[in-house]
Amino acid sequence: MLTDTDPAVLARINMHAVLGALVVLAERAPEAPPLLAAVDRPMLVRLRVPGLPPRELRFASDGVSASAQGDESLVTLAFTSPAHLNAMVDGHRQPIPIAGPAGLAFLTKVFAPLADLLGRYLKPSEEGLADPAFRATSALLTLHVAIAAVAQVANADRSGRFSAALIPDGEIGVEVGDGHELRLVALDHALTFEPAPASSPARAVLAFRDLDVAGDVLAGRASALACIGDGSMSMRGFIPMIDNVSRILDRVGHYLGD
Amino acid sequence: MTTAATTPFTYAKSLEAFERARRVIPAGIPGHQGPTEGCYIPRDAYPLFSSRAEGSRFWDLDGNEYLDYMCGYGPNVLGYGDPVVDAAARRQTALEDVVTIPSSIMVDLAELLVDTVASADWAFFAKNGGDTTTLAVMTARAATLRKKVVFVKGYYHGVAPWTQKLDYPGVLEEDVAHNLSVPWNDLDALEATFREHRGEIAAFISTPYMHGNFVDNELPAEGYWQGVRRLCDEHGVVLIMDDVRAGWRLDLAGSDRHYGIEADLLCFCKAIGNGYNLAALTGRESLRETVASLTYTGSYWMSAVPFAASIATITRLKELDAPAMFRRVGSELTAGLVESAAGHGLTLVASGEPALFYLRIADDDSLDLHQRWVAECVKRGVWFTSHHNHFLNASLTSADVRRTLEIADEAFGVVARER
Repeated sequence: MLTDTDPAVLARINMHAVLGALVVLAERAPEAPPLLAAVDRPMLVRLRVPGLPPRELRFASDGVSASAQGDESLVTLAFTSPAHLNAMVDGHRQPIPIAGPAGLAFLTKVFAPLADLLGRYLKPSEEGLADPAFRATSALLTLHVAIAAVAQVANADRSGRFSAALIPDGEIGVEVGDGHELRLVALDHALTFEPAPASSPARAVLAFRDLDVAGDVLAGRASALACIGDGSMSMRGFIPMIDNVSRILDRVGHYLGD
Repeated sequence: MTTAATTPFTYAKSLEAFERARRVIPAGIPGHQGPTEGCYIPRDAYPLFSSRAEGSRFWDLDGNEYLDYMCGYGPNVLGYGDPVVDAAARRQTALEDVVTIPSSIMVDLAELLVDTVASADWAFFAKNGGDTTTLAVMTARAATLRKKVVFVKGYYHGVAPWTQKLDYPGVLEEDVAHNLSVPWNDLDALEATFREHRGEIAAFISTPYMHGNFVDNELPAEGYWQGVRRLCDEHGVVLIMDDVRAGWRLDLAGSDRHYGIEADLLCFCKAIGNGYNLAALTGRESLRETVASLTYTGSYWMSAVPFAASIATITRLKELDAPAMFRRVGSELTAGLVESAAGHGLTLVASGEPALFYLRIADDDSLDLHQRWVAECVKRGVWFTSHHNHFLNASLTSADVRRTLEIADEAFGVVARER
């Protein structure tokens, strides 16, 4: 157990897992489409952080995606360091925008409100959780962030790499009820997050009974061990893969926990 | 036990008790005897609490009866509630147990261990296997004034922080900073590690053979242990054999003796007292004064009843020539299981020593088929496990083995039909 964290790893988590969840937010949150309706032409947001590969997100009136299509205007958000990006995600600092007037308008009228909305779902209030629809979306977004963060931590964090070194090749499925399945693909001890529906059987599966259980466990409101005991969580297949992913999930908690 | 086809068990009372447990015990049942570490897959195929045990069987809270091939994860070596052992324990209970000064029966057991275990010149008593592995490593460090310990990859030597890994919660990087590891059966890697860290390595610690979880168990290659002994001697490294799991089932003179060497330190627990709580570290003369110099003790470590039980257990194991019995019964059982699986088009691999056989259905790489088969066996009254080696006990009868094979065959049939 390492007792410190690496700002560069947190920046990777923020770029790929937290801001990556904007894709799902646009699909699931009823508040998102009215905000995206203000996008009159597709916009590509590029995050540029010293020492890290750039990350791009494409915003259009019909949704958010993780890859450019070539028809976008470009807005670059530059950061002086990984810690600068992390402070932006926490709402404490502003990025350095490199954009024209349309781009600046997009940032204030679309990007920033969407990021705020994401924050409300990822750190929900008690009142928010009382609404079943909000609670379900919050849990789904939390799940996406957590599993996407596992891949970042497995590949970049010292403790995560230690755990990933013990994961053999194969796919690890994370299932929620009958409706959701995310995948981590292990190859040569590196992990890739695959949010798309899987086409082949996973070698190991971690399953949550429903989104409520997933949300409660990932947010630390319920114990994973107790949930396995009462059957609301389960695991099957090659358990060392699940065991090591669980250790990486613990490490994700060091980065994303309060 | 009946010989009719079975009706899968249900576990309503176990679940009720688990609901109570999770309110007052973290995780309900923490550790290896709980549903998570115990790999109860699927969870609803398994009971959670037992109510009584006798011989080779235990009964769960709902009254379901199991032929038990885990034996409490090893301690049950003669049979649950063995009358000879229990009588010895009762006699000692009537005299004394935990008192201000120890009972001389501790000396009786130490003498028995020194007479029985080939490499033992002395015995030091504690309670759990981890007490002895920790004591062994402390002894090695004190004797050599060195820090590093070499493990075999996939090792398990208890739960003390030094036995865990960098990514385990509650374990500091400093706790595992001096741990090195080499692959099993790889003398070249061991020699290279010893050379690279010449003068820094206190101990090499290993189980007598690789009985890791989730993988086929591997016996030592011809000449492996002799090579380990030679390298340890050349480099001044203390050779610790962790015989907690295999001890008293392979060879009553110690598993080091079984594989043709003498370890410097030998760790015992599990079967040493047939369920009475005891562990022992035995060692060679050269380390006697070092171990005596350590600050290492516990409130119950000199309780007398387990000493009496252990003397009765070891004596009875000798009378029965239990290791030979375990080898014969384990070979018969695993051969029958492999044949039964093949009859359903399934490939069952049995590995490790027959006394502690490990099973795996090898027709997929996920263990999914294996987990389903083990679950069907448990639901019908044969307690196998999908992740860990098994354990035999001396009360197992030929009729028990036959019934086990019947139930296993029924379970193979279920898995084959659903495949």
